[in-house]
Amino acid sequence: MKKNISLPLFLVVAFTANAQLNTTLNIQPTPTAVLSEWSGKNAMVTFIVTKIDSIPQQAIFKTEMKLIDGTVIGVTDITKAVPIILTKGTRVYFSKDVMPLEIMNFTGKYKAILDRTGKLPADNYQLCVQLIGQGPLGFQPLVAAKCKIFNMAALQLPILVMPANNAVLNKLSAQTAITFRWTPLIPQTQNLPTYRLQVFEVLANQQPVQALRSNQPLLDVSVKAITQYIWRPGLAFSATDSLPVKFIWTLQTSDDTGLPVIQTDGNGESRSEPFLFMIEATKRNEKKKGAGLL
Amino acid sequence: MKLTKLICICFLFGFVNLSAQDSTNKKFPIKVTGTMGITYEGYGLNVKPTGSNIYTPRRPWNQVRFLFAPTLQFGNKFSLPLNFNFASVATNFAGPYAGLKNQSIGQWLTNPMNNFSINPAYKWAELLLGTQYLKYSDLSTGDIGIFGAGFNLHPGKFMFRFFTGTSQQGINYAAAPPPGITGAFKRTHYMFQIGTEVEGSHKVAFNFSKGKDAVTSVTAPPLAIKPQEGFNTSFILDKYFKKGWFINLESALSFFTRDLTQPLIPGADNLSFKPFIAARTSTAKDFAGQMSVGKKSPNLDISYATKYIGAGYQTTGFPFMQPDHWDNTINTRFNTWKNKINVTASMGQRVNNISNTSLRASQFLGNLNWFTQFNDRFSLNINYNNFGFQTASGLNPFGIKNVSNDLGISPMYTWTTATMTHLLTVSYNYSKYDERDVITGITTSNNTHTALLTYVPVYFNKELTPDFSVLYFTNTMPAFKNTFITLSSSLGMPVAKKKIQLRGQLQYTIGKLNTFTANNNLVVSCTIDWKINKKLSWNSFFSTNYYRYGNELGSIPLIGANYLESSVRTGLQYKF
Repeated sequence: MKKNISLPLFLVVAFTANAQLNTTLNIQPTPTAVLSEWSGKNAMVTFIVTKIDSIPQQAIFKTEMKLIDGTVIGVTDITKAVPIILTKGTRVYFSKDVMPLEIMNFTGKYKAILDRTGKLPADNYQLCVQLIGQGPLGFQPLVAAKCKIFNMAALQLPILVMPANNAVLNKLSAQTAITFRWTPLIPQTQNLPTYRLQVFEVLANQQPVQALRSNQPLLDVSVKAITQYIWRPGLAFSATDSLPVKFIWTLQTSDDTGLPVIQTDGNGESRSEPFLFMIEATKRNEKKKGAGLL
Repeated sequence: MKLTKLICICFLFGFVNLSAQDSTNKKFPIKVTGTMGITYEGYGLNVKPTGSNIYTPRRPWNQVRFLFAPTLQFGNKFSLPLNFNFASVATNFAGPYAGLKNQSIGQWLTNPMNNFSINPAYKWAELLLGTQYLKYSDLSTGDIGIFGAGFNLHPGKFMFRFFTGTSQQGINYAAAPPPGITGAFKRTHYMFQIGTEVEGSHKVAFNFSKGKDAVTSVTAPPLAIKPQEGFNTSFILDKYFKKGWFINLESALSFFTRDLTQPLIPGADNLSFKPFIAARTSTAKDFAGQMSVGKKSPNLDISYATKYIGAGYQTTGFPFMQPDHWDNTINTRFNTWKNKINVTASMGQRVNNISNTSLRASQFLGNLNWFTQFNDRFSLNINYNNFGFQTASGLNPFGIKNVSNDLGISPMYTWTTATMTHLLTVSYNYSKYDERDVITGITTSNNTHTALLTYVPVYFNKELTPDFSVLYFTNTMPAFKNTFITLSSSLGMPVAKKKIQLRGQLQYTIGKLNTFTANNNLVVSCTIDWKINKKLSWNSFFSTNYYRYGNELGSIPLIGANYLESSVRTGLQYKF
């Protein structure tokens, strides 16, 4: 009986000792919760493998996503993993190599949430990556797993607040100043977002979103982290403009590198759902239209 | 440019030709209604010091817009509406065409700046050709312009609608010249609706919509935008009962692939809806729904509305729809006191980020507008808006808490003498915006006061129509104070036997930011409307905006920096 146990143990030790490998795992501290975006961003996960000896060796990645308490919520299906050949020297692998989503099996509610939203819930997680090889007893670890803790950020774009959707502003007040307000990007992080506020006039014969997609904005300003902007339009309106004159406004949110914070949602530009507002004369003037006042 | 000139000549020729034919076509069995027109827009900007970049242009330097939108009616059963509405210069700043200057013909045709549509209709059948903005429902497809072909069939109470086309062509990314071209993948849409509808009674329908980007449609893919694919199905039920009661319902399911370059997942049948969409690693399937129920009547409207958009719900038919929220609102409107009091109010809550319990954000929304006409001379309008936004703290010591309160009071007084009527309006608005810092927990208040006084004399025996107003605006928060005073007046009058209407406006604003020296702003505008004949009019509008900064921009040479922007818009419009 002792012989039966010691023989496989010997083979494992010999197999592992044969692989002279050093590995290092790096992961962005607050990666996006949209897991499918990880594969397109090399900076998200880097796994550095240094092989000291010169004997080529076949290996595969076994990757586990865990909660902070160690509960495994997702793991690579190693039977479907594509092997790599390790040779002497250092190589860097990225998310698309170590965590191919098409062979990751998530468990229970996390699979349901991922199927429904494409995102993991915002929380603290840890990612563990290990190189394993096909030994005489099946899959065997070549080197100890490397783990990193990170916080998953599920970003929520700002929601426009003021002027409210379809709000009607007094013409004389609006010609002097219009106040825009919005909710901040959630969650608030150390890297302050930039909000690009754009206001487009909706011309006659135009649909609101058509105006947004085609016109030059009357206001195009970027502000850092603040959630209010007072615009002095300096606009005049033709007496024959079909009052109320319509405007559509939106906000584009960028990170500190200038890129949209969410790149794979509907419009791909991190633009918040736009609001409409109108500028018209007061009701008093509206009544006087018939008298030729306007 | 040659093309633009040619089109101008054709349009001008069209004006003359149509005007000449007008009186001779009375017996022809074709009735033509609608409009056509051509408008030139010019813009100029002079900034000092030159190259200081203190102000950037906000209109195209030159733009010509063309409109040709007649409807040809052949008897009672056949109609042919045309809508050719396009511009000479591309000015896209958001969306797929942003930054694009030199367009191919395909890009020009599908650019949202331009509309080319022909919709011949015979009885209950309508053919849709060219650019269409089709809204099937609130959750399936609606606010995107698509260039293509399709039909609307409405035999009796049944309806069948189909359309397919392109909302954007493939556009290569380019970094230079600044600001570069964002780039886009070519996107093709398909949409189908089947159901029954009786106006004023009910509507029951199933909607299917699909949009897919062509990954190979560009040689230089956009940097940040991924090729996508979406398939949606929704069911709508609208029912209108007696006495004004109604219910509107829609439930929808979306399959959305965020990145078509990601690999397929074999066997993931729960995320596929074959043959319309196959699951990839970036595919999500989620639900959305909305319902409103209530009653409408001449003096009382009341309704409850709820809308849920799942975190993974997306549709190519509404590319700006924001997912992951649940709204609940109660809305009402009523008239009382012999219709002298009109009240509209709504109250509700929006929960954002509902897929993340730790970062769920609740948003309270409430607004009230109360108008009272006390007598023939005096009326009062009061409005109040409250908005509150709050999240859990997450990783920060404190959660976000933003609260906005706005109160507006507008009394209006009118009195009449033997020769004129006087209108005097005072409008005061107070806005308070509190924002909590998530690190320190300190709440800062941002207060804005706006007061506007307007006087309008109306002469019984004169053609002059003047008005005068003065506005005071101040916005304060810790270590910041921004104040403006605006004086404004306008004057209108008819000339040339009332064939030409003139109106001018003068607006002067003096502003002060903290302790900096004052800035000054002058806006002058003029409108000239010439009604050449019953069908042809020539409208022109000129405006100039001069702004001179104080010393808020910094030291010399920016002290006294200024800009002068001018715009002109002139156009001929012909009504058939």
